[in-house]
Amino acid sequence: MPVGIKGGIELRKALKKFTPDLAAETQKEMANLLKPIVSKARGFIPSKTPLSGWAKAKSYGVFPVFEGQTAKGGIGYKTTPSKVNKSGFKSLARIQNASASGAIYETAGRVNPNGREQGAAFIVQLPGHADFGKNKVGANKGQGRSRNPEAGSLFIQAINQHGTIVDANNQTGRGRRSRKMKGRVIFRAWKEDGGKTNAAVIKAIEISRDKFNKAVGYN
Amino acid sequence: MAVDPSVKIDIAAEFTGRKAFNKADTATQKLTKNVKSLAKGFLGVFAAQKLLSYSKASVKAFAADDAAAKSLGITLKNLSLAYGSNEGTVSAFINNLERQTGVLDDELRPAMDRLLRATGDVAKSQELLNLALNIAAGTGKTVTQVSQSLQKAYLGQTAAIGRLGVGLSKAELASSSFEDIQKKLNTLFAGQSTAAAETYLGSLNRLTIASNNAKEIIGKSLVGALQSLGKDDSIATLASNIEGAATSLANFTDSLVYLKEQVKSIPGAGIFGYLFSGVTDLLGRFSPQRLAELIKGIKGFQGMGNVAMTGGSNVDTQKFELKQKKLAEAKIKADKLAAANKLKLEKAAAVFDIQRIQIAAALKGKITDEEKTRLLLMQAIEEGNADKAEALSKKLEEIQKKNEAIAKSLTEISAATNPFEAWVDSLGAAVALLAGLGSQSTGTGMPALVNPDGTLTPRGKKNIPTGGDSPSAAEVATPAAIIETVVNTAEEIAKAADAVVKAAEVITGDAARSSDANKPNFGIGGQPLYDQNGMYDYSDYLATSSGSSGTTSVDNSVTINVEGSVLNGDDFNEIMNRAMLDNIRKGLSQVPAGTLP
Repeated sequence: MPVGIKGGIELRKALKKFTPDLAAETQKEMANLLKPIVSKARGFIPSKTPLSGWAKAKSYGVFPVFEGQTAKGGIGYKTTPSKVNKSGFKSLARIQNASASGAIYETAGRVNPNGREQGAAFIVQLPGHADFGKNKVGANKGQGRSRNPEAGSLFIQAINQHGTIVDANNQTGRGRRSRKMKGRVIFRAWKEDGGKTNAAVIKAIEISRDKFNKAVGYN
Repeated sequence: MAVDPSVKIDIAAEFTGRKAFNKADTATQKLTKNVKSLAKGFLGVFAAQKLLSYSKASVKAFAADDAAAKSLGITLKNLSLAYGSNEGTVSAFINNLERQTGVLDDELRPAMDRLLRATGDVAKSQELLNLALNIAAGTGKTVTQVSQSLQKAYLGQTAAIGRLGVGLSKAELASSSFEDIQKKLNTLFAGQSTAAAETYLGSLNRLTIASNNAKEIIGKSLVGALQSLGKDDSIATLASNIEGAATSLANFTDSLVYLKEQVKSIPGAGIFGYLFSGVTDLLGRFSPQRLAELIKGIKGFQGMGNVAMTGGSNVDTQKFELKQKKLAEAKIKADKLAAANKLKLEKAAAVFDIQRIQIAAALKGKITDEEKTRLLLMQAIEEGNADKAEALSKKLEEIQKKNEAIAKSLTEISAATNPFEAWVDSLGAAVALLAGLGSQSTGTGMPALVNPDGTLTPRGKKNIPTGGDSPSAAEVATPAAIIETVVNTAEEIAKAADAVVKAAEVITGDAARSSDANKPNFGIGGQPLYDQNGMYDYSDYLATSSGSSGTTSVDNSVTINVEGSVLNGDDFNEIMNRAMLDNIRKGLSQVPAGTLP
């Protein structure tokens, strides 16, 4: 979990209300701090598709097609407050991987590092059935529907060749570590950043806070 | 495309609260609200049920009290004591005792009943009941026990008193008569009940009394109300009617309001005022519409008999009162009309009153002031106008007094005096003064006519004619002669003055000048002519003789031809002025040629 702060949202509101120029300046500064990490993250996405079939659009299914530029374009930052998540947290800034293919590339193998189990394949034996004689896969929830039982494993291995999943969660102490901070792109960049950007952003917020207090004469 | 929420890094995150908690919080608040409203509803229902049970209890209380009162009445009747005001006296006595001592009448009435049956005397029973109360307060026994013991003792069984622990030995009780025992007990327990009533417990008891009385009153009202509604007037039926009748609740509301006033009058019952206020407030939560519907459903309900309603929502009683008010107003109006009609009739009747006719006729005649006053007084008496009669009688008295004074003065008229008698003396004094003045004249006055020695002065000789009929000097010297002389002289002087005036007029040559000496004259140029004294001066314009050196005169005479006749100087003057004015208006030169402006 990222470092939590208190009063950031109110500070932003106050800045926008009483010192809008300071609010804009703070936002700009935060953007400047996040840009390098975003650029770095974009560099971790391969230009070519990790799997040749992934780049081909299928006439069936809705699996997104991988396209390097699209995936890179989906990586970005936001300096506006987010909506409240399930845990009740709201962030002032974030780095996100918004494209579908980019998200697949980011998170493939996060839950099942060896690929998801595929459902059992079978041939429809029931006469009169619409799919009589056809190969089908009976998949439960959490199972893949490929007739190749190694499909998941092969997919992940192919992606891992371009980049492995990195755990960016540096949480220590009690509590279960969330797997949500693992990934190949933004999380890798975040990991490699070592927390400097996070600290810089918080520092920038604190500086703007001090400037605001000074401006309103609170000190 | 929506961003997968797992593929982002939140920076500077802040905990703002879980939605679920907020939802739960809201849900809790709603729940609390619902619970509260539920509680209120429940309380309301509960209160209504409480009221219902209270009303039942009140009816029962009234019933019991009524039964006890009737029982006492029957006892009095049986003992032939139910005469005069005995029954009322006994009831009042018990009520007072109840209030003073805090002992319920539920105990007092049976005790009284018991004692009456034993003694057969109201006064004695009252004495013994008082004694019983004192003993009960002193010993802690109940009034019932003590009264029973006293009853037995009165009837000869004195041992019962010993069991009360009153402090009398068996021997004393056995050997003494009841009167002696009573005396001793009165001495031992005097003032006990009064003292007990003043204690805290006694005060509470008195409040309880008030509450019970209130209950009985409510019950009485309810019974009265429901009896007027129902066909069956038995208490049992009425009690069961209370359970299902909404109308009883409506009446109950009215009873409570009335009761509130009644409770106030009960000593020590102030605390219950709050109770009843609360109850009436609770009842007030019934919607007025519903209450109105309930009251409409009551048929033939005309209020609660003789029970006066002091407030509340009894529409029928209000209607009754309104009706009464309207009747009263109508009566007042009718009375006023009757009075006015009576006045009119009296006035009309006066036309045929012979006496008044005669008086009116007499007033029209030629009568004196006194007679007029007398007639007016008679008229006022006939009309019954006391104020007018009083004023006229006073006036008549004054007139009579004046007449008396006049009559008196007439009888005392003395001989008439000569009013001219004094004139001679006063004239003589005047002449003497004049004579005195005349003799002292040195230019300030006219010369004297008569010398101090009485002889005439030259002036006197000249003025005072002598010879013939003329008076002599001596005669002239007398006041009468002097007066005559003076008068004659004055006339002469006046004549002389007239002559002088005329001569002056002739001399000035201005015949047109009339007696008005200030009338201006106009010169040739139309300008007014005045001399230095403000008099006419037109000497500059008159022709004078020439020859004097240095003075020349200008002949400014004008010849004016007048057509017609000039009768007198005024006409001439007028003509002159008109001519001049015409010249001025025409703008002709008013200045002779050669004259300087």
